[in-house]
Amino acid sequence: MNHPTEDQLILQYYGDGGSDDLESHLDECRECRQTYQSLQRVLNSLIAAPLPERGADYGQQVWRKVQLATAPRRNFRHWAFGLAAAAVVVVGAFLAGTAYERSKPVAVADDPRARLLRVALDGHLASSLMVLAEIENAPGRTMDISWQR
Amino acid sequence: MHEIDLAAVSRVRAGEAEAFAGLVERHSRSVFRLAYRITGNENDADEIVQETFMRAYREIHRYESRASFATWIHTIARNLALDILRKNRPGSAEIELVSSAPTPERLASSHLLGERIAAALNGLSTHERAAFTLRHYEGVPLIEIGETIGLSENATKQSIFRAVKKLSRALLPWITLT
Repeated sequence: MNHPTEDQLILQYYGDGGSDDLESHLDECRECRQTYQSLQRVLNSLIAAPLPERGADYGQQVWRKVQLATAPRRNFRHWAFGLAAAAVVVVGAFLAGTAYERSKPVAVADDPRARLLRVALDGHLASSLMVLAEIENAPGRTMDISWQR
Repeated sequence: MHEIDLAAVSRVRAGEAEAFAGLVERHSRSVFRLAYRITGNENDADEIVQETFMRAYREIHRYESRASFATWIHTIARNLALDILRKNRPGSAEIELVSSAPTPERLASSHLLGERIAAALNGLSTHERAAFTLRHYEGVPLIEIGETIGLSENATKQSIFRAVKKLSRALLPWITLT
């Protein structure tokens, strides 16, 4: 076998195309064996690539964020449903109250005291109107109304 | 693990949302590692973890139990990470590594090895980094990587070859000295 290329050695390292011929060649050829061992050293050293550490509670932190990110929609629905329900209750209460007020009989109509008060008030307003009309039509728009007291 | 995950998925589907917490607990770190290895950025990786589990939660009905939950969630994360990588690093296909020989003092620190590896990985193009990360760290088959990043199997191989060669050029002198 000819000396393997670097590409063939890389494939050999990853087991992606190695062959018995290649292995035999590496056993016999010192130069190729050294090249392959250098490649192995480099690739094996990559395990030392720095990896930042994450704390013991990393999983919990991630899970909390997942919960927060996925929960708002449900919360928003709950809030929206709650607000809608509250609005229905308020509007319903208002309408019911209004209807009740309208349907309530006017109790004062049968109350004799209220009727007397209304008659007295009507009389007072009528006489006030008359006085105001007299003032309006009086010469110089003045007149003695002391008798009204 | 697979059986435990399947049971949790069934409970979530039945309306027991809290069962999803166990799935997040078991898989969030590995999803973070995958996202970080593809993007090389902590904030992006955290964002990807968050988005991955939100999508998984909302689309749990789409999960088919033929594949493991881990595979399913890693596929979601991988696609999100690749989206972010493409968005953040447009036109990065031709980025070349800057060679700089480390001093012996710097070599003494393994922390610096990590930095050097991170710098070397950041020197890869979008396709190279994605293909290499999925093959090297995740053990994803070539054909599946191609489907994920939209390349043929041969083009995927070429991306991995270029990535490994760039990484070798950047790291070999350094590793030989250590």
